[in-house]
Amino acid sequence: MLARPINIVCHAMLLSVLVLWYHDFKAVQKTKTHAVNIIHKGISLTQPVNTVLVEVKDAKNHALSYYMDVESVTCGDSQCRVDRVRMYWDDLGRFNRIELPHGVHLEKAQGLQFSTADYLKLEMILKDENSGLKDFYKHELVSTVGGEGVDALSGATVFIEKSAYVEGAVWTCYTLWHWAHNDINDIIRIITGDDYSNLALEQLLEQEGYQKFAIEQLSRRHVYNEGLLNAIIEVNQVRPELLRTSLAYLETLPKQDFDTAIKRFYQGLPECNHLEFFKSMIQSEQVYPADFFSVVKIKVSDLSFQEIHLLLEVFRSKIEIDSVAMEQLVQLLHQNDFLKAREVYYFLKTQDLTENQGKVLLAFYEANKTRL
Amino acid sequence: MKRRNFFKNTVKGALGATLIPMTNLSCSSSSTASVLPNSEQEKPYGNTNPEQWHQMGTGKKRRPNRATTLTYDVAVIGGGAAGMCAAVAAARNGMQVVLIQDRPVLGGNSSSEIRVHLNGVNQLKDGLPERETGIIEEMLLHNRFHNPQDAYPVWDHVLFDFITRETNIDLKLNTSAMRAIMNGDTIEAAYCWQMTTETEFTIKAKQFIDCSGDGLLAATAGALYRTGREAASEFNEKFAPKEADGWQMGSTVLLGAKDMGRPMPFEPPHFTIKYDAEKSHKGRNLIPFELGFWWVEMGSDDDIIGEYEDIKETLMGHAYGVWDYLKNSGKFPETENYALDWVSSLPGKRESRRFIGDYILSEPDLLSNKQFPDAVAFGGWSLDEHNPGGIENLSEPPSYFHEDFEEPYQIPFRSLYSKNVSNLLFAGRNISQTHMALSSSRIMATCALEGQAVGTATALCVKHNVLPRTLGENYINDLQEQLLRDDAFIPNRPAVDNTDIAKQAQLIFASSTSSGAANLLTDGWSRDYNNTVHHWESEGLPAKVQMEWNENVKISKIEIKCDTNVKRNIMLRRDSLENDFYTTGIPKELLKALDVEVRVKGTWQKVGSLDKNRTRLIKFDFDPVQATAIRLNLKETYGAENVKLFELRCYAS
Repeated sequence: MLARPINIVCHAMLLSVLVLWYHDFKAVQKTKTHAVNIIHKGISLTQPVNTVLVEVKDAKNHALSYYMDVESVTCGDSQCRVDRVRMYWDDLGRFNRIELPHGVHLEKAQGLQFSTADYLKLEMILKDENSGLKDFYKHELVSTVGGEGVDALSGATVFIEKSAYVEGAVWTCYTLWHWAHNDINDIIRIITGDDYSNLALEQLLEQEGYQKFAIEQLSRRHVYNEGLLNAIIEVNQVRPELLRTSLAYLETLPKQDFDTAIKRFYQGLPECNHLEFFKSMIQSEQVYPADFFSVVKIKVSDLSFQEIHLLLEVFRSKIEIDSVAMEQLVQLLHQNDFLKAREVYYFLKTQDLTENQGKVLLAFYEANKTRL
Repeated sequence: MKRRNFFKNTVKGALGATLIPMTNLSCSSSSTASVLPNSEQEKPYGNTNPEQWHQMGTGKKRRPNRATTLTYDVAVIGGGAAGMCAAVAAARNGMQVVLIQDRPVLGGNSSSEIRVHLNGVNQLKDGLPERETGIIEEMLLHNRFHNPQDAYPVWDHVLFDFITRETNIDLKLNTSAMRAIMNGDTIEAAYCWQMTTETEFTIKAKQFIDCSGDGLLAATAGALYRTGREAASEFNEKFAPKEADGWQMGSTVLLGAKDMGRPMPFEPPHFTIKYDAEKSHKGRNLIPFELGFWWVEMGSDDDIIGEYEDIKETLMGHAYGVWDYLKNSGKFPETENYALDWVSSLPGKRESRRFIGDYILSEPDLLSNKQFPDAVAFGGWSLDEHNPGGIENLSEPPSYFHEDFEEPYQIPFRSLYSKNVSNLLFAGRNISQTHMALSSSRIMATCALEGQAVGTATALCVKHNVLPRTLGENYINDLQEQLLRDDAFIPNRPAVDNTDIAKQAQLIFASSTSSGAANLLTDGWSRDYNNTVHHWESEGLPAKVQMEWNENVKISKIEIKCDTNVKRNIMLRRDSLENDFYTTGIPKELLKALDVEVRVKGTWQKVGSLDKNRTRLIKFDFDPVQATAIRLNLKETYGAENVKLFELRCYAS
């Protein structure tokens, strides 16, 4: 089918975001179809929809994008015309755009066509993963009671935030949003992941935007090697937001690998992630190696109050404190930061200390007993 | 007779009637009366004396004199949303309060007698609510726990429960405040009549709050008031008429219809007034029909109070007329199985007297969002001015929704007390405002905020031994701070409470954070506002929040404001609407279970615990301790994955 721009002047600004005609991909690109079952909130909460997801591949046989042909309206009040539209996702399962067949325009209530502004708003709505449409069930969407401008005596009836839909096309927005965001996002990531070898996934750790995906997929496959660990440590230094994905990966490792990996991981950790790391230690299902802190050579004096607070919790619940860390804590009693010192004091009071350490503790008590 | 004796006697009497043969009854009665001491248990008729009643019937003995004089700190007239909140606010701030309500139930326009939705700032221009907090929210939440079925008669008793559990409130139902007894410009007492007990009450109080809507007490006190519409020029109101007139928005008779599952014929009663649909403005929507029609409404350009019963009878005719049209015109086959299952006999009023205070709130104040130094409440319903003539003016739209608001507007304290009666305050539709301002502010949740403000104000008046005007002039900061502490919200007026020890803490931190920040819990804002975040939100549950002081501090109170999602309405509705902005459930964000600890000499001690919290404002009172830290252990919400808090306060006493 030939591409035909509709109202090209009016829609020129949309071309990058919302394509209004079909490309004939089959003619130039390799595709693979996948039968998928997905729950669409606007159709059924229990019965999956059996549909076909088309994977568009690049020359290396990796996923380039995905599309699915769907109906624009699957529910509602029969006020809108139902059109067949094509929804696109990128290779990582993120919604990308919709395309309309030749000559088709989306329609609002009373037969009005979508305007340029409507298309722009629709695109913004569909790309918003946390749209107000997300938590709505179809029976909640349109109230059976009154219009929007009603009196105090009967109560204004509003069914959804105005920014979450194109006026006159709430069902279309709802239907398309739930096509764009459902199980399909995870399904696509798995399909894409399966196209990659372990080595290719490791290489993706160097590719901007693909690191999280790569770690997730490697985690799914339980892959571990020295080089991979180094790569993950490196990527965490520049992308601290990958900490949780990375820790989730480490959690899946066998005990022997975990013991080695977790120490090295901590040593390469950016300071801003210490707090989150200590939290994860407390919640971890792994048994941390007893020599963890002596190996990583933790420097307690550099930690913030909250980090110390959590570290002490780690000592109470996960790893027995060693003598080096104990001495570091005692030294904190000499610090000017009273809150930190007091936090440490309460901890040390419960520990077996050396005679000298005990004297320091007592001196701290004497000096501060009115504020303990 | 005391109530407990009544029940006791009733049971004894019933037993006697069952066990003793009728022939012996009179002998038994007389012999018992002569032999035994004056013991009510042994009398077959309980504690009554037939002879006494016979003598009263014949006039030999005068009827009981039930006139009683009672003295309180504060008398609140009117048991609607405004009056209830005023009474609770005054009572919780230490006042002995009487709440006078002339109906058998509480709730005013929201009661089962009228069934108007308790609306407030339901929807601003962006489509979102900015819901009221404080006492009115507590009531609405109370309803969610006790009345998940959304039954209006139960709502009446939810309110009864809410009010009567306050030990400082004496509730007098079926009681009308008929006349003020004056001493100069001061109300000394309110003469009241309780219809059901034939009792005259002379209610003495230091402060009087008239939340009755029509304001009979205030009017008889000589308080200045207005009725009708101001000329546009008087307050520069663009939606007001050019010339002033007497028009007052009307009252409405609501109805409810039920699907009976089978065809239901309808025969209109004789007083039905035919509805002329052809002449009606298209804004008079007939669909949906299940909840009745707010536009079945009649006002007056004269004495709307005096005409009330006539208006009511005519309105009933119109209400049945509209229903007759739906059922019998043949144009609405969808009504075939429907039948009326409730029609109000008490039209809900919108407008009558508006008393004059030191400031008259007007349309430009609302539209320009004027910032008042004495702001104590807020509103945000659209300017919703019903058409002159009501249902007898079919060609016009039933209401003019002149304008919505970008953000809530403020209501000043000076509009809430009388200009010329020194100890008289107002809350509700009768406050000092123009007709145009009323078209927005008459909404019940807005009235409730005014109620909390004046109830709190009376307590401060008594505390400082001043009258309302002086309170506003010299102690407005105290009033605003108390309101904010009690979980009222005043737009653009954050709390700055110097007695709040939490503000002196060196550190506040949380075990996890998904949005906001723990240190925002002491920034004085109790909600996110104007796109600015003022909350801390955990990442998952359980979660902890800890506050540290360098020195020991004396603490006996910890007060927390948690999330109830003020962007979602929670009032009782006749349609039980459930969507993103209305819910019939308990807000899932509400904190359900928590405990609080204080650290004393290095040891954590639990000082409070709740397993089923029901309020946004959570208070823990305990014996004073010297502590260096407090810790909140937040365990569970009513469904939300994370817990969100807005405020954490600590007080020495």
